[in-house]
Amino acid sequence: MTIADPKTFQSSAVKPADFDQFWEETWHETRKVPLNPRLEPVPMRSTDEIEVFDAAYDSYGGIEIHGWYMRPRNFEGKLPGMLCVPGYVGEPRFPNDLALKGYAAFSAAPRGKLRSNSVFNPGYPGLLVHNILDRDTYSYRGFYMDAVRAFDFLAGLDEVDDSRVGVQGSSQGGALTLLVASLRAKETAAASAGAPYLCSMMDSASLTRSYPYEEINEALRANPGKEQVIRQTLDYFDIQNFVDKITCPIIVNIGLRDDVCPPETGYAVYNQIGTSDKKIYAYENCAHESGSAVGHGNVIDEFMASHLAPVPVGGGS
Amino acid sequence: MSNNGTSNSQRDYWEAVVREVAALKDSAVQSESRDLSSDDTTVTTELQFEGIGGYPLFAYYSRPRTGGPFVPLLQVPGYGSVVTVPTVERRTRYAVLALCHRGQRRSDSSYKAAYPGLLTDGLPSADTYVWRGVVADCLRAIDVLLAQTDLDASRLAVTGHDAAAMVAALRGDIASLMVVGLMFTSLSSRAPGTNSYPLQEINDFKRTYPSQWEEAAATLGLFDPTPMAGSIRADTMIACSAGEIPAASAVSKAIPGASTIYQNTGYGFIDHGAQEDWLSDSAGVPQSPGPFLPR
Repeated sequence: MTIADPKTFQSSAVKPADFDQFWEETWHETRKVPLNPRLEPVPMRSTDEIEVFDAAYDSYGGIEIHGWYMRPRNFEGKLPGMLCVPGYVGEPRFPNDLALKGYAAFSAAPRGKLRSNSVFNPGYPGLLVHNILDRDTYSYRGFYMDAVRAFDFLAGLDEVDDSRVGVQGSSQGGALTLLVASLRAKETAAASAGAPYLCSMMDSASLTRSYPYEEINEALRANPGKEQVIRQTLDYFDIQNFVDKITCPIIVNIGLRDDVCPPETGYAVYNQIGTSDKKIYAYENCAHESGSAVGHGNVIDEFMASHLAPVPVGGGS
Repeated sequence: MSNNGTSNSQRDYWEAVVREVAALKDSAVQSESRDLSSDDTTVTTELQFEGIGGYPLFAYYSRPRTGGPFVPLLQVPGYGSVVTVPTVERRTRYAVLALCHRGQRRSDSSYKAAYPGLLTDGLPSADTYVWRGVVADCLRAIDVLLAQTDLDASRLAVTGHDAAAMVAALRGDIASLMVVGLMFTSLSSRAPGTNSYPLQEINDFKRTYPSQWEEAAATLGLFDPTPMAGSIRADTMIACSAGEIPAASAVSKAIPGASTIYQNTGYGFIDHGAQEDWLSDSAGVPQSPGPFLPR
């Protein structure tokens, strides 16, 4: 079916009066846990051109978070950093391609992802609705902090130029990109968000029967009479309510036939982004891949290179 | 499996696997309704059963509530840890079993797959290579699927990456085969042309263990569906990228029956629709209305 004018969609997400206070308190709790950054070389994945490390740090609630960190083996001065944040069900990207392009690249696995799930592991389906009746213990409270701390981890590395750190991801990675660019507004140099998830969450659940949003419909069936409670929880976590803080240059791509993250919600969050230095790429006939197979990867590469100035392995531009 | 194109070593290797799986045919399957994912029109069940080596396996099984007999459809899982409940457009039209193979979430009590890592786990030996068990899990899942009630087994369908083609070659009762993406087809020759994972895992292995590569390459050759394709009896479509066309063509040409290649356009809505429509036509089920709800 044709989606009628998704650009005009109005999100029903409402920013709670104490939204900023909630997240300040959450960050205060997070900050009590020392970051404790660690890097362990991974020789099997390293090559003549790049070095690969198993990275780890500690996050909200004392949870250990892992990720893949990689950088060019030979470089001069400091490197631009690129944080990659993962989708919902997919494994975190292994960003050897970005290291070859000259970035210090870090791909984080927030809690519940493989290698970061020894303590917290709600599974899939499961993560989206874990403790959804209570904002204080809802899954994404810690998960969001893990993503913000991933940025701090990368920006804090000696070889990284902390004035040239970008963030990118698609789907849940698109959501986390918008989150990090919001909560690290001054520090983020550029951002690219694809098919952003966790935007207008309650609306999305009524626009699709595809997972993961179907988990919300399941939660509504499992908790009759609790729709308002669920809505109130999700309002604290809806990316729609963060993005007015974004100040960095940003691009957003969506698929106009995306059944996983409805395009209406992509437009709604894009319209709410605070900076005027923004651009949306809306791909006809694309679904959740949102243009990635028809050249949008090149758009991201060029956008990031223009703002972060990496020097590809072997030199050149 | 016929002798057509298959070496003795490949035939012997897989016949042993098939025998191991067949020995489990009467073993117990535990079934528990998943009420959360069931609704007015479909019902979803969680299945637990044993794979070869005594391995505990898990699968989602979804089908319409009414209107059988249904076309049984096995989803060979993709390369990643998560398998989700079958999509609404499939579970409203097929009796679909979504397997979590050994190492994937919900089938990971004895072994947890690593990403990257799964593609080379257990190499170089063909006896210890983890994908021997994974393919066996897929074969076992078909037996579990066909043991369900109210099915039209004559229209059995299988879909997934090219391990699905291996499965089809090892069983003569699959009517429709839809391969979406290549993993093992011409793997040793395709891997050096990329640095993208998971194929890069092969390059990592070769670089790290050069003395083991000859044996590993021989093992990987056992998993190439190309020489096995002569045994495929299913109506077949292989959907792949432009770069995968040469490898896919070799498989397609070796299939004695109807076989077609669909080159993905990169526009997911178009490609998904073409693939689902092909499967619907081949299996004789109504075409999907698509995944969207009315706006």
